[in-house]
Amino acid sequence: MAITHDSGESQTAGFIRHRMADCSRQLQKSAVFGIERVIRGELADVWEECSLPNWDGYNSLPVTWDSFHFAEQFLRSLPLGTAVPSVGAEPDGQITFDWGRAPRRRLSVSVSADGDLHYAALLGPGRTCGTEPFFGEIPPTILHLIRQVC
Amino acid sequence: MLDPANVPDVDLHEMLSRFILTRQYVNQQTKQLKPAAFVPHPYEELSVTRDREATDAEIWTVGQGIAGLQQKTLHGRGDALAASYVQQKLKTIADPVEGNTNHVNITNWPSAADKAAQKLIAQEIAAVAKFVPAPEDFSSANSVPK
Repeated sequence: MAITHDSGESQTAGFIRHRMADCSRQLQKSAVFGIERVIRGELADVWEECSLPNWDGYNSLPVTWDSFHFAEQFLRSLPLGTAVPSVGAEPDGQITFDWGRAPRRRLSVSVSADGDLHYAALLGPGRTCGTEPFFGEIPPTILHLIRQVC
Repeated sequence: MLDPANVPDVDLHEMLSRFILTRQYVNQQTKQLKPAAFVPHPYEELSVTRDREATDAEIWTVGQGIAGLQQKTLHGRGDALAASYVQQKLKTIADPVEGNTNHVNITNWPSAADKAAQKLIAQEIAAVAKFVPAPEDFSSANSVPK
């Protein structure tokens, strides 16, 4: 007799169902906690350190509230299980997210105050760059690049 | 440092240093430079310092002076060969200034309107640049040049 976790009625099936639900909750909690940690940690640090003019010593523009707002939305929109990025800012005031550690496996995404996502990626011998609009969901192009560099 | 009356063109083998005045430009976990450190905005060119005829201490003194003028902390510098910039179709133009005869401008960037293209070049430079933390003597916040 085959026992599945979906339709089995035995104690074993019930145990497996319960354990899988538990693992899923832990995973969600950990992923959400990871993103919350980034929002409350690195993103908050960027706002605190980069919201005044010339924060980089080379006449950089301040990070604006609009850019911060889109950046937070971007982070919260990352699908469950996506690698957590390093957060920073660029001299034009846009908030950036960086993934990847190997010198030629890196992705950088900047969030503009208009909600545009400007990205640049090194993919081994290849490279790519472009701009995608952000409407509340991470564009597939960028999700694909995150997977390629992480 | 170079004699201001005799400043040669930048050679491909020269090391060019970008002074880092904010910790936002360094990944604090990996100590790798972020591409943002090499984005020229709001200017059309990126300001760096060449190591030709300069001791390490002299380079750091220049960085300390810049940090002092800006009332920032000198966190370190991002070193990359001139060839790395030229490989990205940028130009390295000797531009001696008062207080830094070894000053160089990196020019020929894509326009600021092409943000993604600028990011890509900055990404390429960051991939080959080495972050050198400032020695303790030179890294005090708002320090006055020695």
